Amino acid sequence: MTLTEWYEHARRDAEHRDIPELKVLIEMLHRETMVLRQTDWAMCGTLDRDNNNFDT
Amino acid sequence: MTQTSIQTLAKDIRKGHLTSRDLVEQCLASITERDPVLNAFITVLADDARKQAHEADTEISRGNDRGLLHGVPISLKDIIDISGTATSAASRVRNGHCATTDAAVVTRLREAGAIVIGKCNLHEFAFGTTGADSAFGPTRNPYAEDRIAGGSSSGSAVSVATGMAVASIGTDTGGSIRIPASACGVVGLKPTFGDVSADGIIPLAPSLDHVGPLTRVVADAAIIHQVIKDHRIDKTPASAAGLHQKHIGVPRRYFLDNIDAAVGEVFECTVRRLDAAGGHVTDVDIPHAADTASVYLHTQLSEAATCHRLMLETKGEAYCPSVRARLELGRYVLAEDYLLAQRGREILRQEVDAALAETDALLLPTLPIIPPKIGVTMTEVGGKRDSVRALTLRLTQLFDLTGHPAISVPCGTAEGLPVGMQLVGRRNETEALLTLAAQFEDVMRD
Repeated sequence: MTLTEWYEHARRDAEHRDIPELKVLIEMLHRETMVLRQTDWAMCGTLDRDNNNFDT
Repeated sequence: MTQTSIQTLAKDIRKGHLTSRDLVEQCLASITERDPVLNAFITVLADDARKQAHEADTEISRGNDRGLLHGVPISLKDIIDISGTATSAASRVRNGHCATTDAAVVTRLREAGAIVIGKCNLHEFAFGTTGADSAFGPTRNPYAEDRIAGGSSSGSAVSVATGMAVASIGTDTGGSIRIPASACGVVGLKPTFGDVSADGIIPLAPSLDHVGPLTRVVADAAIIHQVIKDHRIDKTPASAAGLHQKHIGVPRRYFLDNIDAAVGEVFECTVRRLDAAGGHVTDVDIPHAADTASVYLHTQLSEAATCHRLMLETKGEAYCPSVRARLELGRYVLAEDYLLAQRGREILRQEVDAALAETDALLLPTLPIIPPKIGVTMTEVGGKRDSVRALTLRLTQLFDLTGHPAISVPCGTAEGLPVGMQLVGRRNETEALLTLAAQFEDVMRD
């Protein structure tokens, strides 16, 4: 699942639930997940560097 | 009494100038006077405390002295189990609960003769930094009653600041001991991860949860830490040398990029005083510091959602809405992101270790802002608008991720409210950090 697909799925799911704050929080989590995935975690090894085409 | 150290109280008790019963009555009087407004306590164990105080006085008078904590009234954050008492976690979810055993930390305190005077209010399930979201109502800052006391160990900090207890035990998952300690002008110690057992304490995020004391002075934190810690010898013995031989690292980038001007002034004044005392203050860098929030968020949310999964299914409506929403958010974190965060966490740990390889401790403010008014969720710092939650966690959460010991020490005021400075020590060297913090406290008092 790409991050975009995850975000769309999570947003739709949140809309169906009776928890008003959740939608805004999912947007925040989406932003932080982008940051996490885009960071150059040097320990991640060659796989991440070779596939540096993050879906954001 | 609110500034008298445990060591002084213990001496007075043994000289016959004070009894444990006197101490308990002074704390109960303070609770009666101030707690109706400040709301620091969920349960006051007045009868038990009086009975224990009588027993402590009798034991001490017969020469059965258990040490410095014998007969000293201490409060506990209400996520810590005491047998026969409700552990509310400040939540309606816990209605009807009664603990059947003491938490490990309570057993240690009782063995040392400490008296539990009551159980303190907190941000529900320790999941918040303001102390405002509690089924028992918000805890108020004793310096400005319309402002937050900080959280999540909000009642613990207020109880110590106002003399309702001599000391308190709290927990720290992202800053929950140090944040309220800073906001209320008391000392708050988050020891090295694993120093103190969390058995019998409601978990929030088990790989981040730390247990530690909130106290009037650093020496009190050292006394309590010595009693409650698991029996492990620190890697390096504490050095008694003065601050003039110490190297203090200041991680300016990221940590000082976005702080309130008044807090910044207190910080720079602290650095000047350290310098004048002969400390060697140098800048250090944590290369991935700006990624701390994303690593913390993915770790903490996932673990909290796991801990609360059954209660969310059966009692979701009983949570405070904002706490429930954050717990539900944790269920959306993907496993690959949690695991990526753990890689990031290891890198951050190595970077903090590297910064401490050339220094004795790191120094930074505990909070980048002065405690905001209760109910405020967004605020502006340096022209940039950000959430109170993100700002209050900004300077503390890294050391929960990495497990380094960190202590908040009061260092003056900004706009009439206390400001705490944070010292961070090497992993597994909590005692060395406490020794350095006591020297630091002396310099800041002069």
